[in-house]
Amino acid sequence: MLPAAFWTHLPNLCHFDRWGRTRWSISSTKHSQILISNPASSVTSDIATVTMTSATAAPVLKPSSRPTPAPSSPSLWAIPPPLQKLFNHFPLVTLDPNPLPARSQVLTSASDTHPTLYVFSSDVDALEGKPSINPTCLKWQTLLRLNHLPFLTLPSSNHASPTGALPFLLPPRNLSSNPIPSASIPAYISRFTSTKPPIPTPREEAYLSLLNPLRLAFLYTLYLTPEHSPLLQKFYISPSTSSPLLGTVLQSQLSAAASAAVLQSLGLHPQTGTGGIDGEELYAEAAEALESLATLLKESPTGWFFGRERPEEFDAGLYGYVGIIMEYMDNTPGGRLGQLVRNAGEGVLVVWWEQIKKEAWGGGVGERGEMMRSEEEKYDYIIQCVRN
Amino acid sequence: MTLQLYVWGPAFGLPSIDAECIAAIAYFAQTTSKADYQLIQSSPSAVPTHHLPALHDPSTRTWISGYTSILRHLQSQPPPSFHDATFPSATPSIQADSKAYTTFLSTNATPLIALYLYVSSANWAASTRPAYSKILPMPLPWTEPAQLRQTMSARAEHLGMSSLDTDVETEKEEQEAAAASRAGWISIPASLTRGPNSVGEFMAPEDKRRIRLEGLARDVLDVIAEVEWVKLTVGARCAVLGWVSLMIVDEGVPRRWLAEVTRQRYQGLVEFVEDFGRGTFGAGPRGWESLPWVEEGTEAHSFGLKLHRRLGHGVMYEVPWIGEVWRRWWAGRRRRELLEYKGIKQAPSWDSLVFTGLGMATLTMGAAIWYWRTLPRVGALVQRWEQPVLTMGGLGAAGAFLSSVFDEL
Repeated sequence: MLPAAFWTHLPNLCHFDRWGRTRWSISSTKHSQILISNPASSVTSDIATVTMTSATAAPVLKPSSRPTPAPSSPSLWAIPPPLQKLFNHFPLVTLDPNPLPARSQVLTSASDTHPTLYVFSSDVDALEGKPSINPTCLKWQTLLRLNHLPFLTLPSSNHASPTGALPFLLPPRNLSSNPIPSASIPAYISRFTSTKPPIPTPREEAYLSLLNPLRLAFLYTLYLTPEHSPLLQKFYISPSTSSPLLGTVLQSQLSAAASAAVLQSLGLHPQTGTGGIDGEELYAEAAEALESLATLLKESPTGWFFGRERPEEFDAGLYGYVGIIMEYMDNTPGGRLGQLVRNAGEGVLVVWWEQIKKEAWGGGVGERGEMMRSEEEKYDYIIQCVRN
Repeated sequence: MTLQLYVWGPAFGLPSIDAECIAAIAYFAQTTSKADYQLIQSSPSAVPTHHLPALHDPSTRTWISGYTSILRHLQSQPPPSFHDATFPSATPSIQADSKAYTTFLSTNATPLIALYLYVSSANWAASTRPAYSKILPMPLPWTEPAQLRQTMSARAEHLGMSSLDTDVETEKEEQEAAAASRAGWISIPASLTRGPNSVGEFMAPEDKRRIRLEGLARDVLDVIAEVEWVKLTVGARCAVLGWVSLMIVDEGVPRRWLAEVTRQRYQGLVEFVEDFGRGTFGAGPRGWESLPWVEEGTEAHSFGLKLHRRLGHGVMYEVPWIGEVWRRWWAGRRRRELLEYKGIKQAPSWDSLVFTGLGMATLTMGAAIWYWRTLPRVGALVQRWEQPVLTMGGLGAAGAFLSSVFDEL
């Protein structure tokens, strides 16, 4: 707090003119008189005034009250009026500050209000809020949509994630700057929907492990069957690099990582390579797993797993795989997984898939992704992406 | 024709050292007459699938590995005496539950066993490695257990408990100390630095992480313990026998956290597993010895590799950089052999071409290096002694004239 005398005896205000000479003003009434005539120099005084005003928190000097040029006597140091006039014309043009890149503008304009989910996707698909092409990302994306929480999606890679794996959720900037790893998304959802985060029952956990054989068959199909290398190219390689050489290296790395993951789950040495993998057995195992899941689904009266009223994390987890399988690996050469899903439980899983698709992605893909920006903006952004 | 089941050999008083193998043996013992199958004690390097348990069906010329795959094969192409009362008569719901719990065991219980018997340095050194030395024929304990430990550690990696492997930890600490002494100005002799002064530094890594390890074990066991295994299929019961009987192994194991947690908190499960084991293998402590075990190499249709080749491949795998390529090539080759054996035509192999090319490249390189070494050093004084040839041609025009004169003469 300032002493009372501060308010009664106004402090001396110190100004510098453009040549660095100090000028003192005692009060606001004198203020206008001692300022030098040059309106351009009022910039400095304005700054000083504003600083003082904010420091004293008193409306001593209003920054809006622009000082009028005082009638000044010509001095040795004063600038001749014609020159002054000339100088006043400058700068001739002040350009607007450069806008941020289109990509970051989308990010900054929206992330004030909405969280952003970073997923594997292409630029355009992410902008439209389309389903991701990665099972784990699709799972969390679907779960957030099922809970009607608005969010943006941005394409990213594992290197960007604090946990080393996508997806992760970046909350709106005004809330927090800490990213939320995928494991904490249920807690995030329960905070915003004011429901309790569900604790899986032992039986649910057992059935959850049935996603593993499905995952192995999925990895085998996408990464290790030559028929699907165009799909792999489209999903992971084209968004990362346009160089064919780097693409080949990346593809071989991805395939090696996938075969290591499959081998590890089968109990073989991770470096055994594809020679250790029996694709037929993987598909047979996945078929049994899907059949068991379909049997479980048939028991449920509501049409969702474990008799829940609404689709929950388990449904979203299975949809992560089934959604991609039915979208890209059904009725294609080598797309046996789609057929397995269709056969499971005499089509129960297909019915379930259509339902959950309608529930989460119904009403057009990306309705929520589009709602915070206009069509032109989106068009500009897409053009920008294509040019780059 | 008799089926051949290749499994890991017995250890810890159990018919096998591997959970999947125990389950497969138990399933055979429960469903098939002893005349219809043989048990062969082997190791992954001998079988073309590189994984045990592996079933060889000579009638269909197939090799199948993995517990659930073997079950599927038995149920689709049953041997004459096969009788599984729960297949296919169990309701679809029970079948689905059995499938789910079997998958749960293989997905979640295997990492626990890997932590308990493989990653933990103390347990590995005191009980698991000696057990492997007993069941493997002589030169193989030099190569195979280390490979196996790598494989199993990879399966438990996601649990983040690699610090149980104190060998790695100590090595890391030593490296850090060496780096610090290299970088620092002053080095303090070890005798002057302080010793361990907190309780934590005296404790074994298993004791330090006991709460977390127990948590991991409980996550898995809570699920398994609530199941009414009697109602499930024989396949699922054999699976729980396989995995849980390895979890409660405690004879000769120095850090027995998993066995203690399981025995203390899940008595019902342990009792069920022990009862079921007695019912399957016979009453005695080593009842499984009465099963139709056959010496490796004496089986009717030997497909296993010879010992020296297994050792050779094991040594090749250990060669840095080349080992990885070699392993992949060998696995691919075995897969081809397998498919050809089954009668599936394969595209012609490029192996011989690649090896010829490699051999020629090596020869060329060797020759080039040898030639390079025989060259004199750059800038060295080179002296060559040559007999001067006396000809008339050296004398210019006069010489030419003279030589023509001599020629005419």
